[in-house]
Amino acid sequence: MFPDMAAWRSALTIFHWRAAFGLAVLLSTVAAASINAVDKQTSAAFQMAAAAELASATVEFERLHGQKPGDRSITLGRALTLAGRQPRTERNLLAAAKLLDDLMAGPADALAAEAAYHRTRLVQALAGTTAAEVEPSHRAVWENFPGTLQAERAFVLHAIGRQHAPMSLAERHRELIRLDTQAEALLTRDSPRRMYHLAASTAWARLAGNEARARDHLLVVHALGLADDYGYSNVIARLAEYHRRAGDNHGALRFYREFLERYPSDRRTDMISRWVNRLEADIHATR
Amino acid sequence: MRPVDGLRLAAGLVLGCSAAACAERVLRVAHVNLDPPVRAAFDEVARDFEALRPGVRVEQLPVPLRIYHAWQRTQLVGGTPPDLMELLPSVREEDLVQYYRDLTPELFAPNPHNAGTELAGRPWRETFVTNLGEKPNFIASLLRYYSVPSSVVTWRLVYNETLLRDEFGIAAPPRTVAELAEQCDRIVRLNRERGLNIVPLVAENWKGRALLMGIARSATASLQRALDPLGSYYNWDDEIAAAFLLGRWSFETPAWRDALAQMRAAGRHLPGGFLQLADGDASFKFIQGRAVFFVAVSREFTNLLDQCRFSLGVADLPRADSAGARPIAEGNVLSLANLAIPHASRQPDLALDFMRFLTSQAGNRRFADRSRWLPAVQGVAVAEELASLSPNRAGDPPGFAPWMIGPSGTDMLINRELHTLLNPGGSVESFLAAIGPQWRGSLVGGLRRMQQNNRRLIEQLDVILGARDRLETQSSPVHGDAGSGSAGLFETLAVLELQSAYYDLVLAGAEHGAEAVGIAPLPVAGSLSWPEN
Repeated sequence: MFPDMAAWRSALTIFHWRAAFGLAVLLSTVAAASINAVDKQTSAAFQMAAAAELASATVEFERLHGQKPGDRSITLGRALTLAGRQPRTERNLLAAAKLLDDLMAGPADALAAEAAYHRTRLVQALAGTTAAEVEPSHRAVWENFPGTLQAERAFVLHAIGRQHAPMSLAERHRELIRLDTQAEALLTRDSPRRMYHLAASTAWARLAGNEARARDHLLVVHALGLADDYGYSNVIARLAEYHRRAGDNHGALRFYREFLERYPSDRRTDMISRWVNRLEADIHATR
Repeated sequence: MRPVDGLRLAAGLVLGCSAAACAERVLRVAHVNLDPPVRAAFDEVARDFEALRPGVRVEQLPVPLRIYHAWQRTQLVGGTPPDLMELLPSVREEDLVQYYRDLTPELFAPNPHNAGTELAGRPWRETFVTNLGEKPNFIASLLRYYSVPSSVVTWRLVYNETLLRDEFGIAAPPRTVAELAEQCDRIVRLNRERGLNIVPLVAENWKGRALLMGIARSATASLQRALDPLGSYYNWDDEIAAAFLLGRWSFETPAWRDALAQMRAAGRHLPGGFLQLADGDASFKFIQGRAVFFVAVSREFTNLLDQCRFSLGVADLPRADSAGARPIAEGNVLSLANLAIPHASRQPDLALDFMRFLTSQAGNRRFADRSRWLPAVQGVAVAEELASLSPNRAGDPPGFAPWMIGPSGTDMLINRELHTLLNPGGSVESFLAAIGPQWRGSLVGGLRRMQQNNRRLIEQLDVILGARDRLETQSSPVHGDAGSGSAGLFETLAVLELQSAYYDLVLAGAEHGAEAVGIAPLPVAGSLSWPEN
């Protein structure tokens, strides 16, 4: 009756094996599709947050959290939207901080670095830009996540706070030098570097009255450029003025001419063109 | 014909209507400029654009200024805004982020409608007569561009040439405050003697204020440079307020007192209570021939040309003639009819295309010629009759005026007490006595309010930056404004933090003294005297 039970068994096994494999493939495809769908939806939610559509992003992240509770990206999205929700409440901020702490306790990857950075932004937002209690939080980012973009940004924001903390003039001088040395070692990316050097040039000139150091920092900003075009016009004008005050008329002329080329209709253009005429005449007279 | 146009044409034929009617895309543009020549100018530019883009119809929605803000907000919140909307300088940063497209990437690329002109290949941003450096084009706190101007504005002292010369025997308009005061005194005296019912000077509200601000800025130009802690030649009010709080200038500073005295010399001839006058009150009197001088903005000139039945003269606003006063350069002039694209526009690409056309040399020439407004684009010739309205770039960067840091600063205080300076019994002393008790508090309040605004923006930017970082880590393209990536956002954020940190220190210095908190004295600006005009 059953001439070849072994064959049947074998066929059945093969069938089972194939069915199991097929089912697994099917399930994994469905799961992958589902994960991909969630990932796409997560990206879409981040797109909303990036476009400042905070209310929609909040709803979307909460919905996605229901679908995929352990997803760290979604957790970060929830933390960001909780922190940004207006008006800010202590409850929301504490909940955001808890989510960020959980992320930082996980693998030390890019997402943990982002979480650490935003954790320190929460501390800074609550305490104030120059508050002393912000420093350990900033330091934790660049010490625990060295080499990341977030580490460099945290250092820049830390430096801005330290540059402007009340202290004696002698202390400020020492502090600005210390920060310059630290920045040299820590900052490798253009974006944090240009902002560090801009802030340092401002602090050296406006707070410490040292235009030579301010000029050196501004030369770095000049080389790296700024997104803010009007801010960049200030960089060029300041470089020209610092060179002129230091007696370097050729250096001043270089930047004055660059200003005239780039900003022909600025409120300073006419005065700067008069400086060019004056300095050219002075140079000519001394030949 | 593009394939899609062919399909539309076919569909139209099948359905029994013309392709134009069936395939028409309507681009709606909302603005506040109700003057007939300006509406006609928008129409003409629209027709030119329609000729370039078959199947497109441009519709303008002129909305009265007094209801524009509420109307605009309703459209934005309801998600039904037109494709292009005029932005007013009072627009809030958070609204820009939430409702409007960031135009920064587009402005750094050439405007294709300038092909074949000397502006071809230049970034769109560099093709305007302004640097687009001011609100609502460029938002300094966001470091982003949100609108482009169709025109620019200058301020002028317009005068009735017939009255000035023939009735009062004055050969030329005033160039300085002293000359203005002298001429006004003469007009008042002769008017009284002859019973003419003519006043020397009219200006309503913000125009009168603009006259006084211009005079004060001219009087304090040298002081502003002396107070410049960065050597950038020009600083906004916050730096001047900081300098006061740090004890670097005071009510006894000669240039400040001169500025007030000069404001009084000119301002005592303004109509009593001019700050309460409505728009049009002063121009009505001037058009009727009952005033000799009128403070006008360039965009009013069209109406004046049409309505005045006398010979019109135009002069620069008079400059102060006190010690240290300087003529002021009209750089970074105010922009006008600034158009922006709401996020909710249904055809943002077409809106951008129209915006580029309107601000191309050809489009803006058409607009300026028809509206008789000043062009906003380089290389567009100013009509001969408007030549005296063109920005005068000669002069120094402006100084400062008593109105500082906007409504959250000293604006209300100065408006309330200005009469103690300008009234017949007024004086610099009585004005200083009136504002003295609240002046310092107003400056502190202004800086604190700016910090609060910064904080709100920073909170928003932190979320946006975090989201962008995540998208960039996941290699997901960021939609919308790819050119303004996280590096630019971080720049904005760091500048805001820098500003807030500086204000913190200044406020501490105001309490304990600059040296006690570690702020060095101002640098000496070198031995060279400043070059004269």
